[in-house]
Amino acid sequence: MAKRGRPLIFNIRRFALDDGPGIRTTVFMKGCPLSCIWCHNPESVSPAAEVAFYEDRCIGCGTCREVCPEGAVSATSGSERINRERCTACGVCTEECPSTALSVIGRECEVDELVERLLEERIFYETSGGGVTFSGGEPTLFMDYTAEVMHRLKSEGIHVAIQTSGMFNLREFSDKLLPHTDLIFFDLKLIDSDRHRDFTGRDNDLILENFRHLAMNASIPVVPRIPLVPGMTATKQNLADTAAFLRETGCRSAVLLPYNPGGILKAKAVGRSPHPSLPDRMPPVGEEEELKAFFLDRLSGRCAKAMEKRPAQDINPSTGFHFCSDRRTQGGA
Amino acid sequence: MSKVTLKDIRLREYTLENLGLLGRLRKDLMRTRPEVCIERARHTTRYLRDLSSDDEPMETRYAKAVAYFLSKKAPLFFDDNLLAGTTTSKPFGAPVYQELTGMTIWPELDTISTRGKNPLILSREDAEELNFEIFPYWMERNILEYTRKKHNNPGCMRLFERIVFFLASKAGTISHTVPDYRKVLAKGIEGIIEEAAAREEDVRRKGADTPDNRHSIEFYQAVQIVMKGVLEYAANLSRRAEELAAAETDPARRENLLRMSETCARVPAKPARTFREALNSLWICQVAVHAENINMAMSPGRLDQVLYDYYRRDIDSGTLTVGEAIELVGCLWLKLNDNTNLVPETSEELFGGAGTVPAVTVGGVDENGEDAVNDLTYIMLRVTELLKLRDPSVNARYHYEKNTEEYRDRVAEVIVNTKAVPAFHNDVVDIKVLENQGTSTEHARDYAVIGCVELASAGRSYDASSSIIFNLVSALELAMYNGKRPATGDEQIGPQTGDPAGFSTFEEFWEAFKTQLKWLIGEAIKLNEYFGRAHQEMLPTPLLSAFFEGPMEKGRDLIRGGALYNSSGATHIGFADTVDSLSAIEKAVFMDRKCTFAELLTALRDDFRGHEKLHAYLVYKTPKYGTDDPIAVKNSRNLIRFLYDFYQGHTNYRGGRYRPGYWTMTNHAGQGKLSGALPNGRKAHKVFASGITPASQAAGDLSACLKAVGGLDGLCIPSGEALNLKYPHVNGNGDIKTFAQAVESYFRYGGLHVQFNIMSYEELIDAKKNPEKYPELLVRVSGYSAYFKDLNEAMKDEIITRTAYDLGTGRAVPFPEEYRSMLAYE
Amino acid sequence: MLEKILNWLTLRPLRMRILRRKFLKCLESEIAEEFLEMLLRFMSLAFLLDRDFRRNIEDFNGRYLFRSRDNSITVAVVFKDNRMKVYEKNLEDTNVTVTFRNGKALMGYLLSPKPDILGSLLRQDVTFNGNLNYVYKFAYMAKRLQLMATGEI
Repeated sequence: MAKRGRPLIFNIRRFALDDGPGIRTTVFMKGCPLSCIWCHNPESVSPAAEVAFYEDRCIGCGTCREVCPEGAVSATSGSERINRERCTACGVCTEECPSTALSVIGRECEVDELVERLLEERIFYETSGGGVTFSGGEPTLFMDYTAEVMHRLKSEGIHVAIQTSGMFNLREFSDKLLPHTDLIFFDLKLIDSDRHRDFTGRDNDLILENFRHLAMNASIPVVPRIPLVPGMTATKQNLADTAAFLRETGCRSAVLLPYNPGGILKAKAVGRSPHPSLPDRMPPVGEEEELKAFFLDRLSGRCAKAMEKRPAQDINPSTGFHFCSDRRTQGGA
Repeated sequence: MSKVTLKDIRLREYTLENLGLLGRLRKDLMRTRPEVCIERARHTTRYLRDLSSDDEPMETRYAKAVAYFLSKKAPLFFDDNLLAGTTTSKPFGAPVYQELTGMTIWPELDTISTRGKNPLILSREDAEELNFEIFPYWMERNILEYTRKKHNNPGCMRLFERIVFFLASKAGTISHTVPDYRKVLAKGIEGIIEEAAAREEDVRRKGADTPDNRHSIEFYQAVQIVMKGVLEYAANLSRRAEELAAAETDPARRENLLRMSETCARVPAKPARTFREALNSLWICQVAVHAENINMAMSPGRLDQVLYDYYRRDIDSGTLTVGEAIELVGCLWLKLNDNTNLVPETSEELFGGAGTVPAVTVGGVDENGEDAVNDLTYIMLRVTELLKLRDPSVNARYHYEKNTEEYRDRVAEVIVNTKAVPAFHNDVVDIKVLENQGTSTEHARDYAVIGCVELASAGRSYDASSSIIFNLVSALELAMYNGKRPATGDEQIGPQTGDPAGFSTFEEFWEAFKTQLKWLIGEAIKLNEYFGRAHQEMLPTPLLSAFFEGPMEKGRDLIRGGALYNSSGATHIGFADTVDSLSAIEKAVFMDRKCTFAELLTALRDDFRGHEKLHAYLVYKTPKYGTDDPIAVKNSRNLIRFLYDFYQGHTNYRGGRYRPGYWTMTNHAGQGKLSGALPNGRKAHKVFASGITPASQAAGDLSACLKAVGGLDGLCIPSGEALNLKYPHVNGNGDIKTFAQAVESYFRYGGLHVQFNIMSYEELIDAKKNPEKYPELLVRVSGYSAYFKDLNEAMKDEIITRTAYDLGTGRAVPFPEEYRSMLAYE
Repeated sequence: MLEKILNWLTLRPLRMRILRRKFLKCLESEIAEEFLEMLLRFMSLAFLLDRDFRRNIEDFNGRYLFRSRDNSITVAVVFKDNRMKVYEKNLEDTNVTVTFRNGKALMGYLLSPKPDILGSLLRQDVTFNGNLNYVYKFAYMAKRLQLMATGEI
């Protein structure tokens, strides 16, 4: 399942507060085994480089058309601007575009260079009890690369977290990544396997099995995260199922990620049409609150109070967490 | 061992509601309109013109003039403040320093009361007195004319008068410094007089035949003369308070008047015994300092240290409660707001809105390098939080190895609750900066902030930190236009460094720029030296000298180099725009070859009209200071280094070195309005970025911004820097923690100073549109606080467009689309 | 000569009224090329007629040169012996020389109730060489004159 070689990095977000304790840097890797229709980092799904077009920044100078060696750029607006069949993501247009309306998503990065960049932020980690979080896409996709970067960071004493879809080979994960990881954010999207297949394109057997194993055996905290996508994951049925599943694994807390429609724009930028049933705005606060309360109730009465606060500062990785995230974007630029 | 004994360092039980007096006084202050006070001008002019002769040595003659004024100064009690003494004869007064720049309001005498921006009330009688009696005497005598005549209308002075190159605010006389009030609290004025008399005797015994000894004798005499003036003023206050008490029917008010009468009968003449006496003694001395010296950034210093022993003693003996201490400190804060600057309309338009910026410093470490935070620190923070006043400009020192996280987070909380103050200073680097300037470690640790952000070993170092305000963009333009500037037309101003169209490398341009800088800074320094020497001859400062360590020991006036340490400060306008323009030139012309230099200049001349593609490229694709871009990093560091080396090579008239700094008050807005388009994409007549802050919207990433600014070598910034950050909102304790951690990280990267506005773009835009809705909105400008409504339009725009970072994501918040035209590059 | 003076004296109040009207008109006009001439004529007459205003030049010695940037206008104004004298010629040894872009610019600088200070600086409407205190004093007198003309004082 895991790929060899170097992944493309599509974002290194500094001052990340919602990806673990303290002030962190989050590394976003390109490529994901799932293709969730609500993905808020749609530019992360394909492991290959892509050119994104941000129409709001375009000044209409036409330079991109002039310079494209493949003739892949047209004068049309929106996601039609780049002919994705022809585009090789060579990056010539993005170099020449004067207003950063075009940019290449995904760049190779040597381990040394990445580690160096991550360590530049070290003072932020040390001052705040933060560290580095690997996200994606799916950071376990390039297990060897990720393992080496993590290893280098751990040997510098940096706290390392990972955000995963859970779609990985458990043995390889346990051998290569787990020893360098301090904290796992584990996405649980849907418990019903049919619905999971429908919405993400893959079965969830492996995911649930991996979660069960890690939650019960790993010596580090494993925090389940449930994205609240209206009508898809944010249903009482799914939340009840998830709570039951978590209780079964002895897990008494979880992060609920509020729905963020930001993915829709980003999907358009890389020429994908967003799923028509995805809401383009955030649901009313009350609705999400109600679902959260329902979920908490099912999971454990004790959690209710802690769920009201934003978590980033309050969690203590050594004792487990009770928190949910706020409305902040969970993904890349 | 921690000196903190308060159970709740936030002192939440004390509020403006239950501290009725402070709430009332604050309300009065906010309602009071400023008035011109001519009392000082009247009495000093009368003395110098009618009651003394030109033959007398200036040192004693001037001391007599100040003492004469102090003895005539009306003892006034405008309100129920617990401290006696007023800076002026008005509840909220702007004193006239006619010997300095006071005469700039002459054209406005009939209209100043009604002018649009920040009017000052001036009665017809007082206006006539200024016009007929006072100003005529000074026409040939104020410092500007004295200097001009002496040096035959020098070129450097004419450059200064053009406004667009540099300002030499030395014309504002001795200012921007931190007196040492510890001595007067401990010894009393009588003690100082005795000391001066004894020292005078000593020198006399050695003989009065050398010029140095002659000056020393005159100086010691002057100190005695002027200190007696202070005593007279205090005695008058005491007498008047007693009279008023006798006629007062309200028992509480009578009681307060009697206490003030007793207090002033005791201090500042004699050593202070109680916290209240110490506060009132200090305040009367601060008033007295302004009888001699202009009210610009005369900073009381580390008040939580200076007053601590008095506080502790009274608390321990049970004669003072924490609530009373809060009330007394609040009274001092309000008193420090009782005066403002006399500013002509032109200056309001370009540079207005400032208070007098008496800086108070709290926290940090003591002389031994240990945690100095005490109960009084927290009391002062609480008072600052409750009163939300423009002045004093409160500065919190933070030593990340010695001070507690609790203290750090409390300072952050006060900033969030006031939306603006205090400013944060980095003890670790600040102390190294001063040591590097030759200050002893012990003295460096006892530093206080002057005015905006500058550092001084409190009461030992005379730094005149606002001597030169230098416009970096003017030198950049001189380099781009071969010694000319669009703002001054066809006139050849600087040396001809060549038409840059002929340059084949960026280094050639960098050399041309440095040549222009050296020439222009040289002119500014020359003028400052002229002014400094003029001061030595015509405006000695024996009063302030008595409140310093050094002059009494050396027998030399402060203005002649009497302080233990000396320097002159030069601050710089347009740092980010200049660095970004250098980087843009390097990248666009010499690396990417997107345009020739000639094409670039054409685009600038057209203000980018018809050059949209080049403009977008310059704005979005050239390196920006405040990001990790190596070219931006290189150019920012090179400029800082070059200026440091150049200034440090110059010694001033007091034997101290010149120190560069990067804080801009409101000058970056005004100077921006006077400058053409720049290679970084900033359009003509838009504001420059403030202080050492990256250009608005150029640094989209908070952590990169903090690293870039923190990464500048602090040792090369001995006159301080102002980093202005804006957060739209800070919610709850979690955010406050992040806020404080971000500050600490920035300090660990090496940053010297940071200050905040906690306001969103939308709120500030609304405040500009509807000033009546925000009468008390306090903002940090670039080193000091102001009420937003008082600022000129350009300055309001600058604060509005400053990058706002979302503390939750560390990313710049997008500027509201419909107001994009306010941005500097739109 | 004597006749001339007598004529001048008897017609003074009338002339003052006419001048005042002309002056006000000049202030309102967009061109204001004659502004300086009007101002100086009105000012010297006011010194003659208005005792309070005259106090401004008692014991005042001042030598001013006003010059348009294109050198088309050169006017010297000398205050001496409690009098104001105007010459259309160059003057050496002045206290201050005022160079202005045009009449309107000078008027804007001296009298506009809402001066466009930034614009004025940008266009370099008015520049000075010499003792600025003399400019301040002159500007005060001009402003007072304007207020007198408009009846505000």
